[in-house]
This record gives sequence, C-alpha cells and structure tokens, in this order.
Amino acid sequence: MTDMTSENPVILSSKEKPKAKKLKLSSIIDHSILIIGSLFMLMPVLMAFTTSTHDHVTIHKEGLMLSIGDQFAENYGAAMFEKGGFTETVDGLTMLMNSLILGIGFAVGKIVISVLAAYAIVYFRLKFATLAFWIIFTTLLLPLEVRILPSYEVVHSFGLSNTYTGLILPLIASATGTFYFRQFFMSVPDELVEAAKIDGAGPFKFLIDILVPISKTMVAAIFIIMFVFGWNQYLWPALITTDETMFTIIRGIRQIILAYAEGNNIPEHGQAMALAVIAVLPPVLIVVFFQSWFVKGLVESEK
Amino acid sequence: MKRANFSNPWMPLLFLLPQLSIIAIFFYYPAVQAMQSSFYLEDPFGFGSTFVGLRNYVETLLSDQYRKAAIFTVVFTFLVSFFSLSISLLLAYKADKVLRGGSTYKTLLMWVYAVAPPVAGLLGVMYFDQSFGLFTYFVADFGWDFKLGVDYYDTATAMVVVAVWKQVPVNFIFFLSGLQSIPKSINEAALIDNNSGFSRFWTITFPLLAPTAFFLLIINITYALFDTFGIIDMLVKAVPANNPMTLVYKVYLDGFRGNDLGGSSAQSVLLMILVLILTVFQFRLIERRIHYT
Amino acid sequence: MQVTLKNITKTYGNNVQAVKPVNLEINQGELIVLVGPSGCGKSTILRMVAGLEDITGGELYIGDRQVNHVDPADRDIAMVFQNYALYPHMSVAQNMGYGLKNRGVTKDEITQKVRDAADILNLSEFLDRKPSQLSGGQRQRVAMGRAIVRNPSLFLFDEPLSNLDAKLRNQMRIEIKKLQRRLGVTSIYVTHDQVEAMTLADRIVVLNGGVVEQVGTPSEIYNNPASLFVASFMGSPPMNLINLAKPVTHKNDKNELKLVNKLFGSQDHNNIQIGIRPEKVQYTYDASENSLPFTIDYTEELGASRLMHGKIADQSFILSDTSETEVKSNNIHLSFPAEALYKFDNETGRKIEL
Repeated sequence: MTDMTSENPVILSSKEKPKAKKLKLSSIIDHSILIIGSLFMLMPVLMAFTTSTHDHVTIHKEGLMLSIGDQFAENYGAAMFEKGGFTETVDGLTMLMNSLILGIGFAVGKIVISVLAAYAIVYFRLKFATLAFWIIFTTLLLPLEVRILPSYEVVHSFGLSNTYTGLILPLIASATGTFYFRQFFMSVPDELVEAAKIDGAGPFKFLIDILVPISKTMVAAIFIIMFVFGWNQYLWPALITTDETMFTIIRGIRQIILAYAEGNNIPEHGQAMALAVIAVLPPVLIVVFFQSWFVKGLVESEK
Repeated sequence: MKRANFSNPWMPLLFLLPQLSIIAIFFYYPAVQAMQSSFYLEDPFGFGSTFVGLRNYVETLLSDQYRKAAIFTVVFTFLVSFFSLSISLLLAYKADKVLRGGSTYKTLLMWVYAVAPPVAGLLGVMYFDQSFGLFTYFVADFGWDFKLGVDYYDTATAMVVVAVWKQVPVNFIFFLSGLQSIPKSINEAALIDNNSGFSRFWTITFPLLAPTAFFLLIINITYALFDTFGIIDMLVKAVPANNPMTLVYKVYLDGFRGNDLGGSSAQSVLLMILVLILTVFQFRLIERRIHYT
Repeated sequence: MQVTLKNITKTYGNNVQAVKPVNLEINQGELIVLVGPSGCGKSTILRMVAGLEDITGGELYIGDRQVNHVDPADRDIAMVFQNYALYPHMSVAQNMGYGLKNRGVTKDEITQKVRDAADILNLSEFLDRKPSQLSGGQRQRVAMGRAIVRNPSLFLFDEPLSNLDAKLRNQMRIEIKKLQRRLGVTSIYVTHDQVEAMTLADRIVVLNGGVVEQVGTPSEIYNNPASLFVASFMGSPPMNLINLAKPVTHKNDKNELKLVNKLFGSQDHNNIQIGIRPEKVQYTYDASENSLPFTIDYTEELGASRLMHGKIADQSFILSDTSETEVKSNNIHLSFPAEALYKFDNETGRKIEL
C-alpha cells in the first residue's frame, strides 16, 4: 500500500476526491427519498387537518385546502358536540367515549385473559396442555372477518347487540395475546420460579409478586397495540351497533360516507374532516409518544 | 412448558377458563355454525332451511361475480404486497443508513400505523373524488378522466394506493428492526470486501433480511385479504354496485345485504381453507427460518 | 444439619437414568462439592435436594426428617443460582427479604435481618438499588445475601461463580469459603470447575454419567484417584495416561510401547493404563537404564512452571517443570519414580492397587 502511494500519488488522490463527493451526493439522495416518503405518509392527514379548518362552502368551491382557515373552532365544536351532523342522535364526544371504552375494554380484557391463559400453559404441569394449546392457537388462523356472519348471528341471538359486551367479547376471542405472553413467559429464566419456590411463593404469589411486575413493559407494549386495534375496529361495530348512542367514532366515520353517497344536501366537508382528525388523533398520539414500547411490542409479538 | 413448574391441579383450569369459554362461545360455535349453514339453503322469508349438500359451494364457485372478486383479490393482494413491501424496504434501508435524522424519519414513517383503515379510505375519497379530489384535478390535466366509484379500474387504482399507504408503516417497522439487528461487524466486513453499495445491498443485506421479508409477505397477504375491508367500503361509498371488491367484502355483502346465508357461509368456509393453506405455508417458512439462524 | 442421600436415583420420562443410585452422608457444617462434566447429574442431585426436581427412587433426609415429598419452601434450605435469579423489579433489600416476608416474619425483623446480612456481605450501601444497577460481583453477593438472611440449615450452590470473570471468581471463592466457615452451615456446592472444587471443598464428590466415581477430601482425590475418570478430570494439567493396549502401527511407537511395558513390568496384564502426574515426571539429558527418550514438541511458559508437550507411543504426554532454567535440548530422557505411578484397568476404569 505504501508503495502504491509513493508511486501513484496522483491517481490515488484523484480517486479519493470524487468518492468524497459521491458520498455527499448519495446522502442527499438518501435524505430526499426519506423526505418524499415522509411527505407521502404525512400529507393526507395533514391536509385533512388544514381542510377541516375551513367552512364547507370554501371547500366545496376550492377542494382540499393547504392553508389553515378560520373555522377551526366551529368545525371541531360541531363535530364534537353537535348532534345531527352526520348522525342524528349522537355527538362526537359520545362516540369518542364509546371508542375509548372499546379500546380500553378490549385491551384490558385481552391482556387479563391472555396473561392468565399463558400462565396456565407455561407454568403448570397440565394433563391436556397440548390439547388446550391447540384449542387456543387454532383461533390464530381465522380472523373475525372470515366468520363475521355466524358471529353476528350468535351475538345477536344472545341479545348482545348494542351492548359493550357484544362489541368487545367476540373481538377478544382470538389467541394473539396468549401467544404473545406465552412467548415472553418462555423466555423468563426457569431459575426465577425456582428461587420463588424456595422463597416460599406459591403459584398465585409468583404470578402477582414476580411474573406480572417483570412483564410490565411487555404489558404496556401489548396494551398499545391492542388499544389501537380495538379503537380502529370498523366492520364489527358497524354490524353489532345499530343504536347510534353506541356508535364508536370509527363507526361514525361511516355515516359521513353514507351522507356523501345519498348526496341529498351539500356535504359538510369541514366537519367531516374534523371528525376524521378527531378519530385518528388518540391512537396516533399513543403510538408516537410510546413509540419504543409500541415498536418493541409489535416486533416481538410477531416472532 | 417449563422445566420448573407448579403441580397444582385446579389452578391452571381456573386460569384457562375465561379464555376457553370466550373462544368456545365466540369462535368455535360461530365457526361450526358457518360450516353447517354452508350446506343449507335458507328460506328468504325465514321459514326454515333445507339441506342442499354442496350446492352453495358449487354455485359460489361457478358464479361469475365470485370469480371476478377472486381474480381481483389475487391481483389486489399482489399489487398491495409488492408496492408496500418495496417502498418500505427502500425507506427502511435509507432510514437505517442516514447518520442524521434517523429517529425523526422513523416516527414520520410509522405513525400511520395508528390510522384506522376506514379513515384512510375517507382520506382516499378526498383525494380521488370525482368532483373535488386533488388527484382527480391533477390527472385531469393529463387527460385522465378519473372516476372513483364509477370506473372499475380507477376505483381499483385508488384502493391499491390507499391500501399501500396504510401498510407501509408496518413493513417499515419490521424491515428497520431487521436491518438494525444485522451485526455492525457484518456491514463493516462487507464494506471492506465490496466497494459497490448497490451490490452490497443485494448480496449481503438483502439475503440477511430474507426471513423478515418472507414473514412480511404472509402478513401483507393477510392484510390485503382481511384488513382492507374499511378502505374498500369507504372508497365504494358503501355502494358496491359494479365496483371491484375483495372476497371478504363479498362475504359481508352476500350475507348482510343479499341475505344469502348459505352462500355467504360457503364463502366463509372457502376463505377459512385459504387461510389454513397460508398458515401451513407460514409454518414451513418458520421452520426454515430456524435453519437460517 | 446432617444430610443423607440413600440410594437416590433420577429417571426422566424418556427412561434415561440421569442419576444412578447415590449414597452420601454429609456432616454438620461440611462443605461438599459435587464436580463433574456437564450432564454428569451433579445439578440434578442438587435440584433433588432442593426439591425442585422429583426424586425417582431412594430416600433423602435433612436432619432426621425425610423430605422426599416436602415443598422446597419447607425444607429449610437456601439456594444460590448460577444466573443469581434475582427478582429484577425488586430492590436489593426486597430481594433479600422476599423469602422472609412469605414466611410471615414481621417488617421490623425483616429489616433487621436484611441489614445484618448486608453488613456481612458489604452490601449496606446498595440496599435500595435494583439488580440491574449492580455489577456482576455485587449481584452474586445479593444472591448470597438472599440465602443467608433466612439462616437456613442447608445451603445449596449451583455453579454460583461461573458467570463471573476469572479474577472476581477467585476473590468470591475465598469469600464463600470464609462465609461458610463463619456461619457453619452445611453446604452442597455444584461446579464443573475442578480448581473450584479442590480449593473449596471439605470433601469432593466426583460424578460421571450419573455415577459417583469417588468421594474424598481434595488431597485424597488428587493423590489417590479411584478411577481413570477421576485421574483425568481432576488436576490441571491432567494426569498423563498411557494406554498400553492402544494399537499402534508406526514402528517407533511400537518400540516405545514395548519399552514402557518393560519399564513398568506389566507384561502379565496388558489391558491397563499407566498414569503419572506431570509434575512427578523427572528428566535428564542422558539416557539411563530406566529412562525413556522423549522429544519436546512445544513448550508452554506459565511463569511459575513450564509445560512441555510431546508424545509417548503416539499418546500425548505433558511434563511440568518448576525449575527456573529452561531445558537445553528438546531431546531428553524421562524417568518415573515408582511411588508416583498409578495403574488403571481399561475395562472397569478402576484403579489397580500396585
């Protein structure tokens, strides 16, 4: 190498300079690609927000708006508190509450049930453990969408239409959470149970005193994923809730499109966009603020 | 099961009870119902049903509409998977590579995960709408008369674009974490062995990402099949008419709008079989994944 | 407390007998080390004593009480695990006090006992920290603390030092020995490290393939190994073993083997191995009547001693030299003092008395 430098110093230096330039150029390209990608993701929602601050006449005349208008308070106020916009008997606030109940109820219910089931499968000598395992994990195969009609019939026949129970329980009937916690429990060192046994902790104490506390971040991660999943449910709430006071906000979005489709009156674009922004804001904020937990949960759970 | 465990006989049953009972009532019972009613023809006025054997299946498979939906589903699934995977792979590779702003890009590129599919669909309507859509204005200048909800292919295009937009974040997150789990020393060794960044990517990085990509492919297929319902429903404004639709959408349509319980159930069962095949495929991949590591 | 193992066996579901009948009497205050390669059954025995593993056959007594079917928590034992098994979400004090709390000890008493144990182990300033904020050595001490705070009648150690680096391991080894002496609690200690076994034990139990090869004090084990396995497992570098029955093809090797045979006068029984510790071998530069020519292939300089590697009859042979001067020639002649020689039966693997 030293020989080369002394013999061909010119060639080497000329080779090195363009490389430095190339590096800069390539990093400019990299950033451009990333910026374009970010804009591609960001623009639709951003424009929904900016549009939602204009009155519907302007929007109707000029289409989507990129500037911020002066109708923020009016449109969001109407979307949140006014009944009879797109729906007749329910305001945005009630729908938000219903979404919150669905999201939290689903996430908490799923986590409690999954932790218990996974604990039983992993930590107990169970005669029919394999059978239980297969009964539970077969549910991973068939998403609710595939068995939607019979599920609806069953829930309806129980008289659970337009109830939170009917809304939440069928969504819980799958093993994603159990599978996730099983994976995590399997990775907990065996010695921890053994130490606890010697320390005089029984199965219940071990669960409460040790296993649940050390699963805290896992629980948080899965909570975020499940909350977003529950909040964003569309088809199931659309079928099982016919009473408007039971509508979730995502279900409410459907009313917008129905109003468009009917086309009787001038669509309230501003309010519609405001409702859409309100509908995405809670899950988006949670995902952004608890990003590291969320990413960890997502990646780990699918392993 | 663990090496160390508890031998209490009734406690595990107690712990399993909530999960098992919910599954029994809300999973197995409906699934069995679907299979059963797929062999029956329901009287439209609700006066009972008659056993018709495989007729619902035969009719479903022979129907033009079903075949049309099936073909659309395959094409739709392929396009959505292909575009969302390639776009997110490119973005993840770049986000992993840049020295500055990596975490900002990461946030900007993943947050759409939390947007509900129907909201994505609604935003899609805003962009592609015939009367005031931004995209519609734009392409009109090039002589493309974009007709969402009227023209079959225009509607299909909108569906693919919105579905890709919604799926990029998930793929991005997995690709990025896959890239970040490649040991730095491997990249450094490759840097010494290979001068071309492009060839480095295809010979070193991509093979190491292959397990992630395989796995994501399954995820994307499942997504395109089942999770795009909200997007499709919004883009056709809940009026399917002659618009393109996926098989899942058709299950819903025939069952709830068409009141064809038997036909819809037969379609459900066919989808179940499809998912089973996918799962077997997936298990095989997982087995192979173990060999990789 | 005295611990007695009577014909203890362990068979797993797949009919593998991991532990063949083991008999052992451990005296009050004694530190017994179970040593052997991985899979020899040493951990299984320890875990059966702890009650973490079911005993397939035999009887286990702690004191006068048979404890075969007693829960681990009720055996009055404490255990230190290889990976420490500290509860990651609890502080050091909570970790040490958890066992007491579960036994209904009052808060004040727990605090007092934890403080005392922490004093002994120099952990007083870390009581409020979480395990993740401690170094490896400190975590190890917390694990010890968790064991001693309950004042049990039996300590069980499952390779407690193997996650530490070499220097810390030596230091902790001494601390464990001192602590055990000071508290006078009967202890069973499992390790695969024969140096650890030699330095710590009152008595060593050497295990191989689920069978007890030998029980004895460290010097008995070293100076009077009962079997080929013990001879080759204990000691570093291990004892030299020359298999007289080994088939050799090279002419030179054949001659050497004949020579060895003649040296040891063992023509009567060929199916044996001859053993000698590397430090007992003597060398000269000139051949004598009872010497064997030896070529040094390479030398390892260890500072305090020097290891010279070569081959006798195609079997590797090491001699250890503590003299300060290096060998002048690579071709030397070895002689073997008769009192340092061991004979082992190839078939049974047992030692043959000379």
